[in-house]
Amino acid sequence: MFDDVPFITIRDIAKQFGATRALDGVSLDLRRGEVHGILGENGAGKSTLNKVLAGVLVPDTGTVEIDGENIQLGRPKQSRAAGLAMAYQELSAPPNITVAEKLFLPKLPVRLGIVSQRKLYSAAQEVLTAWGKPGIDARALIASLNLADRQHVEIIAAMATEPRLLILDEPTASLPDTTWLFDRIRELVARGTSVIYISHKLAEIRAICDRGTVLRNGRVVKQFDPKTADERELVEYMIGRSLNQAFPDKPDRAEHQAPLVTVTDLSIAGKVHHLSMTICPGEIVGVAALEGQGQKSLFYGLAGFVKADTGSITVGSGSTPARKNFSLVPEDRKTEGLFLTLTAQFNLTISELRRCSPLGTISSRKEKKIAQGAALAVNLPSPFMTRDIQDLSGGNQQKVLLGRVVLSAPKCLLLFDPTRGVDAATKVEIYHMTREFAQQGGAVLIYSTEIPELVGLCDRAYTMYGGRINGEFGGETLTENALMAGALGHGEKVSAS
Amino acid sequence: MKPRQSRRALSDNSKATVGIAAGIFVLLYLLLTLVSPISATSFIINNFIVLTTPLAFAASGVTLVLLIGGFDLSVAGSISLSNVIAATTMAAHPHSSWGIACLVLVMGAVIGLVNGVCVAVFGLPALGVTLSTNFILAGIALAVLPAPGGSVPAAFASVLSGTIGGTIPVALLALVGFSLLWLLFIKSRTGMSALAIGGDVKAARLSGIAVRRVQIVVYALAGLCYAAAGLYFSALTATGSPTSGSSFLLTAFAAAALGFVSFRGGRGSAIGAIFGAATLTVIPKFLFAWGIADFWVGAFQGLVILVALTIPWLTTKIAGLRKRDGEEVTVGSGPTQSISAMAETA
Repeated sequence: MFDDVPFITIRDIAKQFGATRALDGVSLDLRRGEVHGILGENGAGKSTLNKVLAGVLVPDTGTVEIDGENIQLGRPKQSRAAGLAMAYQELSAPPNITVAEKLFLPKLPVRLGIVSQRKLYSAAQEVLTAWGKPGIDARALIASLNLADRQHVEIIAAMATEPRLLILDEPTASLPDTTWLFDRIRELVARGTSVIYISHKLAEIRAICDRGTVLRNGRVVKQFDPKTADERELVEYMIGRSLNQAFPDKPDRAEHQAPLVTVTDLSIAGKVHHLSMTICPGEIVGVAALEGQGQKSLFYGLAGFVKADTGSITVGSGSTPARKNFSLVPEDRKTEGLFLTLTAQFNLTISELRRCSPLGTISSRKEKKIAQGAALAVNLPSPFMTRDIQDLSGGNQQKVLLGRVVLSAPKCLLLFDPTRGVDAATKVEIYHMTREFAQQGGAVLIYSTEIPELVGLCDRAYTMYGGRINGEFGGETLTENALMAGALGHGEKVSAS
Repeated sequence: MKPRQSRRALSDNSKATVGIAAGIFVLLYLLLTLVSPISATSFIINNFIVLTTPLAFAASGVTLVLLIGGFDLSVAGSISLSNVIAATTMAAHPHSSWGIACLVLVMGAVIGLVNGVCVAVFGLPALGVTLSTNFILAGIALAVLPAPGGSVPAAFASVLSGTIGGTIPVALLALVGFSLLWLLFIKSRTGMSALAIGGDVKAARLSGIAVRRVQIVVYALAGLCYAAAGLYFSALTATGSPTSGSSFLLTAFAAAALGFVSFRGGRGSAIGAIFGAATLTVIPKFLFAWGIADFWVGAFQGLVILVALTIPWLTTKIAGLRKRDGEEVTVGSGPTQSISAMAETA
């Protein structure tokens, strides 16, 4: 459709955060009107590459050219002026502004220095209509939108600038389906926009992309043709090892085992409705769900951070103190789990200070000993113990959190998206640690945004939709397609067939 | 999932909170006129407005900084310094009072600019920066005028604290004019950006807002407000004192709280803060009229703030009860959110 010469040239981008090499010399070429897919696991460097292109992060080295013109990196304004637009995975709209304001930021239409309200809202409604979402109210506050519409607004805001290069970072994370998005992408591409489509969903890359690149640990490891590439091979490029080795073997399970954790008719704050589930000792049970289907309330409710309205939770014989039943590895380790400015050792032992303070004051010798035991269990190199946790890589931070919860020796481990932002090698370690915990008789409940991870790791999995469990899968029925369909709300149909 | 959409835009949201803040003040002032009918005379009303104005300006400056999610303790030092500089230089050059006043305003803006640069460009914590500048400014104020003294020319003072044609207080005009300027500011690109920064600084940056520039402008404007407060205080007392600003430190934040300005950023109006300042000023009058000893003033001011803050909380609770009855309640509609969110984190 357009000429074959590179239109956008990205050369040798590198970026280091503390000990983590997020990008390690990434180079890419894009033709005009090309949709280029970037595949990679969490922590592969996709989002960092994005932010470098958007000018939000200054790379250590590297250049970007559009149509032969060099872009000054590290300046959002320059990136914008050069025709780059980006829809962020984390959705970049402040909650207290209106849809219209988000669409026109940072250049709101003004008359005599005052933002013209009438112009703003009528123009915004036109933009929404033109991009196929007339149902979104331009005057609505961002905070009042559901996640899907927030994502629509985020994407429309980027597309409406008619960019030369559009970057979409996990654009379907909160969308019910891809039809709308793919139609819009095709319209833009026909007018000569190049698109970088970042995702970890291979099916989407196959459907919309002309070429693809696999990123792993900040490097380009594979260029591929999405139409013909072998799925299994690509996944192995993504995780950096053969699939069989990534996940520990699942042990054969006894048929009728008494459950260790029994949840009956649990309802929590309008987010979880009459939910019942069981977890047997030695079992890893997965939860698959789209964003915001009540899974967070379920996990935090089991951990005791959210009060249940009705229902009961029994663990084992019910004789152990409640705080020994569940331990949670929370969703966002930086804000919910770690004391960022303190050492790894402090972060490991903080929940178990009782054990290192026999006389009321903390014995540093005992603390060190306990911390070392935990570090060994999670394979954390001991020189890291005295380092501030914020200087460690995401993978090592997550190991510290795992070490902390294992140290408290719970009956049931609750893992909420434990491999988010973790490098491929550490992920595999986390899978094995999880399995090991289960093999010692513990129960594990794990939620993950990565469906293949649940299929590979879990003995059994539930899908959640709208605060209810709508499907249960195990053995032969535990497949990616089944979990995906269940997460999209078609659970019963699939598990019955 | 059913989309829950609120038709209320941000400006309407602030209107509701400003309405409550105004309502509390009007109620208290009406009660005051019942206890002491003389309060309804134009002379007393003028006096009251003049008395409120310095705090109103100080609270407005604080509101600006709170709006972007910042914090500013330099309000006290800025007012002291403006006051002593006005009192000493105006005494020496009584004929250039208005020129001096302009210079003092410029000085306030420059002080704010320094705060803003330290916070936005150097990335220092706002609390630490403004704590330091507050000490520095208070120290300079002491060096300029070690003991209360100096004077402000009567010609200057009587204009600011007087009336036009014996009916319209100049202070009222100043506050109304300032409120109009505020409405223009909040509808400008900069004002809009300030709100977005207070809502989510990271998202604002990703949306292409020049976050640093807006932060610096906001701190500078806040400094300008403090200087205006200092000048009005000088006109009110007709003299200078190196510690004149210290009483404004906590009351400015209290007035902002009474004006339903969110301490977490992103919500609030200087007009609300002005009514908050008026409420704080009417309380001592009220107690005096009742014959209650002066030292109860602080306790009553605290109590009124606490009661005021529970009003939005109560509306949330009532809304919550209704919701349980099966009624659909929209989110983000009304003043309740900012305050209840504020109460949760405070």
